[in-house]
Amino acid sequence: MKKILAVALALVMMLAVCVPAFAFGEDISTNGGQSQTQLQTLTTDEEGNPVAGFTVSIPAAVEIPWGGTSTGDFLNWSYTSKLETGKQLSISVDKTSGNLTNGTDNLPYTLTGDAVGTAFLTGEEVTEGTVSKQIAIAVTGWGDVPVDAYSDTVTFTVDVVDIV
Amino acid sequence: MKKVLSVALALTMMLLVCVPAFAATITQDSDKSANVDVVTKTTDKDGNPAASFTVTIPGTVEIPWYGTTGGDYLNWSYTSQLEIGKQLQISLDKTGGALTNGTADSLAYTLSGDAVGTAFETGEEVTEGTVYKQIEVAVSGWDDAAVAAYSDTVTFTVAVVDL
Repeated sequence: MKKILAVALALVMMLAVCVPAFAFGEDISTNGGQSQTQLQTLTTDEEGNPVAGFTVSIPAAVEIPWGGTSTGDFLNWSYTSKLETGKQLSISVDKTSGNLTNGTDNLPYTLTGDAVGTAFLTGEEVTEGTVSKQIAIAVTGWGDVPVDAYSDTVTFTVDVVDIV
Repeated sequence: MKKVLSVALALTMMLLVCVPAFAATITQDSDKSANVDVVTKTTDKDGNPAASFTVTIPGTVEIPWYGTTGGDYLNWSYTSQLEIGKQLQISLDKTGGALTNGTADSLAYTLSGDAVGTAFETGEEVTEGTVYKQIEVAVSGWDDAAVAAYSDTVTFTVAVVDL
């Protein structure tokens, strides 16, 4: 009898020591108590689409007057980004120089600026508005070729990479 | 009503044909590469046509009486940077004539060289610097005329023509 009472007492004491873990989302009884609700954002919008995004805007064409512009000729581009934590944009141009051609003659040109030669890393997940950039285009040999429309294509490539 | 609808439809179709040159954008949903065309214009920064040429001729050619031992020449020159497929065509209005002093006297002369008789065509859009030319002026009858200043006018005409 004493043993039974001792075991029962031990059980009761053990139960008293157990600290109840408040469960999430459980109804709170009419006698009081606590329950918890966790607030959590998704990385998708209400339609299930990924929210992280970016836009890099480049001109379809850059027209350079014959002889160039006194203050320089530029390819103006810009970007905005709202990326996931730890991510940034990597933007690069496929050449540092080339030849504008009309199929017969050439006008050499060089490019200088961010994204030329070395990929440009934005360094942040979220931009403060639109960030504007310029690439200078220097054309030479204007006096050596017939007057005509000479052209070349420059390709931009954008990747999302880790911020190191 | 039908006419109004027809006009509206025609305008809509015309606007659809017009293809505006939009900037390209690269986004998370698009191709990760896009192209920019770098193109020269045929006008300069002020909007003036860039193609040009210069033909330089003397205002006067003075010939000493009896002429010069090594010959007398009308020296002219030209430079050009024309649009592709173009060249200069230069011609004179005579192959010879008479130098006169306003009286019955005259001194006959002949011209020989490029642009005399047949138009001279430069054969290229762009010259390498200035190209120099000479037209020989051969005067005769020095002993038959009173000593005076005899003169005549030669006219150059320049045109841009196709190669």
